[in-house]
Amino acid sequence: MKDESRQAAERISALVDGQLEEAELAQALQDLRHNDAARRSWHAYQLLGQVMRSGADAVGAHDAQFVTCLRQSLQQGSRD
Amino acid sequence: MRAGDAHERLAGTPSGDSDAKLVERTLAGDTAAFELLAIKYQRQVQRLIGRMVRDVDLVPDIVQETFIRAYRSLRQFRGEAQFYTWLYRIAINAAKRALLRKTRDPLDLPGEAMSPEPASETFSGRREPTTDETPESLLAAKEIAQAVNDALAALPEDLRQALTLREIDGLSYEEIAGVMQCPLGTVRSRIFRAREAVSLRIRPLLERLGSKRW
Repeated sequence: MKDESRQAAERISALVDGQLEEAELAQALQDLRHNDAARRSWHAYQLLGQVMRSGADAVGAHDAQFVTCLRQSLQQGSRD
Repeated sequence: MRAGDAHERLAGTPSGDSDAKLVERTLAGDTAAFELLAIKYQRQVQRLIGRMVRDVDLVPDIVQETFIRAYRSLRQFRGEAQFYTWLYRIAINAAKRALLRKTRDPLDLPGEAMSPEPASETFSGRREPTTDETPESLLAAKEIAQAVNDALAALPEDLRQALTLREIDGLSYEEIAGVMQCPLGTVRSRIFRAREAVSLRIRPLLERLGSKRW
């Protein structure tokens, strides 16, 4: 993993734990907004924590289509 | 597992700080922050609604309705409960409304005439649990859970301990630094390295799972 990607992934890991200060939080959200790999990391990190706490019950795929539809609905709502 | 069990268990997860920050950012106008909450809780909401609604075709629309209502009502979330607890109540009410609509008009769909969620959310009454899971998806879930456990077992002790203190015990980085007698930056790095090592093992499985109906 390249240094830049590694730093971005480490920020996302810290974001999962609510441990980012404002400047890094803004950077992490920027990464997540524009980077599929960052979103996959967010999902994988969340999932593994849930599996550690709850076992196989927690497992589910990241549904990118769901998020896309939600984004469109929210954008539509803000224009109405 | 019944819906109430999930509620009790999830209320104890170490996610509050992260959720509060994302809620704050959403209220400041950053919808990407809300998308992260949706990614995080989509599956749990889907399972909850799946247990309440016997018609599996209705579930995706009710999940979508839940998150839209939560987004529109977010200013009413005062942080007195965990975000998921609040979301859970919205999901239950959305499922109840959908069931009622279906009873009145079998052709009606969720999302019609949607208004912001009332500030006071209550839930009562439970249906028998139902799921839309297939034997194939249950097997995949077990496979992924096993891969997580195998990857955790293969981690160096310091990485596994840091991740366990965070995920299972819910300790903050500061508390973990105290327990492990190391700097905060080391805690952050260890937790990240542990997560990344486990993620490398499960990503191919997740991608395979994502290509199938869940």
